[in-house]
Amino acid sequence: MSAYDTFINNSPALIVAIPLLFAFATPLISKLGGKLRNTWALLGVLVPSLIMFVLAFEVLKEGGMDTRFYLFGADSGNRFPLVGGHILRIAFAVDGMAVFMGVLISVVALSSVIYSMAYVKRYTGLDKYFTLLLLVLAANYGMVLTGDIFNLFVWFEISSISLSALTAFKANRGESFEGAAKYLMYSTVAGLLLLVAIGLLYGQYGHLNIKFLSSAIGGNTSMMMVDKIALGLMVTVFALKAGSVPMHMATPDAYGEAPAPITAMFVTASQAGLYAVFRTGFTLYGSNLTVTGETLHILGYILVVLGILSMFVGVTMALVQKDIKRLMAYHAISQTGYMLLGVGVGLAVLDTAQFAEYGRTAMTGGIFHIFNHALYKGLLFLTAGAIIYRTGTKDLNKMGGLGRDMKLTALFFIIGALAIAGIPPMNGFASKLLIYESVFKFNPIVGAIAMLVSLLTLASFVKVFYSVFMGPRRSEFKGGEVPATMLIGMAILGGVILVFSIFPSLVVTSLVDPAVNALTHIEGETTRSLTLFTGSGSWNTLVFLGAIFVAGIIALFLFMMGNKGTVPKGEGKKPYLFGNPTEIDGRPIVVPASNVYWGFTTALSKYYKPTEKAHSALFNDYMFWFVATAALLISIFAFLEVLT
Amino acid sequence: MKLNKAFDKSLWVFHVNAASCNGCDIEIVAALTPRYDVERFGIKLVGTPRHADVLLVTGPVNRQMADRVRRIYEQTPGPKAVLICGNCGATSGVYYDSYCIEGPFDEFIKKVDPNAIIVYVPGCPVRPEAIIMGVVEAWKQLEILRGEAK
Amino acid sequence: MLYELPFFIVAIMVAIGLYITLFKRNLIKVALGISLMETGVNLFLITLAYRHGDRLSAPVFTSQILGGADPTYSLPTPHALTLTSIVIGVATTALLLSFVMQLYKKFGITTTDEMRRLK
Repeated sequence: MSAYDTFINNSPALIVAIPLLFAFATPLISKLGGKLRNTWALLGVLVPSLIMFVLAFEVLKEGGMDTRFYLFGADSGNRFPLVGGHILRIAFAVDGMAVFMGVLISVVALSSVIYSMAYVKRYTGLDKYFTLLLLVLAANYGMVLTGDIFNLFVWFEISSISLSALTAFKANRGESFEGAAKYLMYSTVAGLLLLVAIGLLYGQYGHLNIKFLSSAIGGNTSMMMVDKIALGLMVTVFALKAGSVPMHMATPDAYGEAPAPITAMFVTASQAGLYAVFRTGFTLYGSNLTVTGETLHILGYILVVLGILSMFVGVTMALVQKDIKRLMAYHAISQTGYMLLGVGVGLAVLDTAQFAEYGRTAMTGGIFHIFNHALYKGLLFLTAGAIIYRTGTKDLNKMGGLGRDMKLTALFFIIGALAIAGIPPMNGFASKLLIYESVFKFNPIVGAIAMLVSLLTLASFVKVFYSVFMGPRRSEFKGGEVPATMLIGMAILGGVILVFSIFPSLVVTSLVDPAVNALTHIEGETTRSLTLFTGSGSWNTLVFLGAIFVAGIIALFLFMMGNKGTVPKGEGKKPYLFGNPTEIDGRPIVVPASNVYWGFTTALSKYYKPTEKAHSALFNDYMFWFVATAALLISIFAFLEVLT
Repeated sequence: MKLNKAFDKSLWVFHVNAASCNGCDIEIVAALTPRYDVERFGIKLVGTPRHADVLLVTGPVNRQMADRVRRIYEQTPGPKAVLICGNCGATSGVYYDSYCIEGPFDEFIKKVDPNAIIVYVPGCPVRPEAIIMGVVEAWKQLEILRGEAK
Repeated sequence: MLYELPFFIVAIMVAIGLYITLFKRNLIKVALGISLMETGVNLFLITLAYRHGDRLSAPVFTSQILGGADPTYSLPTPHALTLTSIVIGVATTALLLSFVMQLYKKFGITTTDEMRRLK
């Protein structure tokens, strides 16, 4: 065993241990100065990220289906010492899906911590900030790497507590405490019900290790009631963490109040929650499909329904928001719907003939969307943070004209907004294309809803772009572009998005397919080409960009042939307001952001009035939705065969 | 400015009422509706000066409208022409030397844009056939101008 | 029947805890409700530890095995799970109460009705 092999064998533990160690040492180090603390925090994110990339390389080389185990406390780390048929240690199980999530978490955390260095400089209590940030990172890594359900619960709780403490970081604003309190209360109740589910499974089978539990569940002749109740509870709780409707209401509160780099970490934490949903469905309950197949199909349909609800409610509520970060948080909920939809379709047709036809493509799309979403949502939240940093306000109605001075931020915003709306050639389009084409074969109405939601996403980001960056320059927003470290943080995510956009098929074959292999234990294609084949179509970014380039040349040629001097100058460039002056007392007349889609929302007021009332911001209502959904899911699983 | 050959085809018109008594406005609408029908030539009213080729101005220009008409003229992209319908625009008509009239329209458009192309169609109110004849005469003049300019 | 009694109590405690979070408005009551639910779930975990019969691993005997008719064993793992859960509960309750205190200091909020600024 060479040193490299020992290193790889121990790397899952290192990936979690290093951020923990760095987190607890941060308050000591920060006594020595701010720059040292920043460097320490950066190292605390960089070192486990590099180890994660190396581990990812090793695992993905083999196709991702084999699970590597790391046992805490065992001498060689890889053998399972069994005592009387039971496993005695906490195990980390690393397969293709875990490594996929790990790479995602690393990239977003790196850009978040680099961005933080300039963003929070004006605040005090920074040692606690970086400590909690490293703890969140450790918790996220723990959630995706673990192979033990109680350990999953522990990391879940650590991430909830740290994130809610960080939400309240801007303690001068009282609303931060409201967002933090709601998120904490919601996550704690969810965690307790998760613990009940874990207790049920442990009490029934005596194992906590996912691998052993799944073979124990699969060893029955049919699924027992305990399994079904536990499944219903676990899916509800992890869907709450991921931010799916109807358990989504604490998410915009927390995302909107947290500082911008922390919202990027929130995104990674909710993706880890989504990972836990899929782990429960595919791995915990998926080892013997003759026993659990029916229930998994029902779970797939439930995930599809949750996905559709999340997509639609998320984007329609986002269209009416005035606060930039709450708007983006509702979009995060909407995009979670896409992932649930894609993987739900895959789960619903698992082990049937349609899986090879479109189920696998749907799963590939859903899982690819997880990575894309973390990247572009992280980038959008970081640009929102840059805007808030410069203007001091979160209200869209008060911003305007920033595009003239903040050109780089505007560029990153455009990249993120095009990606989230699924406009070619961005990576969002690639994953959404996979989802559209496969879900359309599953059910055409659902595919149509998915495309409509994309359209509304574009609409709401056009509104944000217009009200933030366009319009006349305002005199109260001085200072120009944001500091360089913030730009570097955004550039990391922007660069990765561009790479993913230009080579989507390579990303799919090297990162996403091993993840799908790991979840479904069905080997996929391994050919590498530059074209992404969706099963009924294909997409090649370079061909598209080439076509755009040629079209651009033709457009330029036509433009050059036109008359010169026909564009109005000076006074004529101002907006047409029936000849009226466009400024009153020096303040420009603009359409404020709340009124941009006035017509749309008033026309749909039959839908909007009840929905806005349902989002009442009352905590008891949040709990109602959670308990109702949990009860509904448990009843569906437990009693469906009685009904059918 | 040079008016190219596109100005021989259908023109899009934006109507500006600069304090008119509405007499000429009614006649303009009559010109567009099926009896005198300039819409068969593709001439249509548009809602914003950004789409317009020709500004159709009626009325003398009073103090409140002066600034606004000037701004509308500037916001129209070139190449453009101004068609002044009625006596009021050409020579203030019955409101000559009134206390509230800023002046005939052409005077201060010339201040803004010395090369403005202005077509006058007199009449009080201007008959629809006169508007059509005015436009035809203007086209003839433009051809001559273009012949000279080329 | 005696061995199943704690499970009923757990059900009652969790139900009362959920009822409080669903229907009570005072923030301190909600925090207490969450704490009650935590205690219930901890009781659930501990009750899982006591077995009589098969499915054992590294048991801890609670009564004399020699000659005993139907001895009860105690598994050590749930004790560890419960301790972890108690610690997590302490951290959560402390953080939650500090948030409630800050909300009161800033805005005078004591009920969830008033905690509705974020719409």
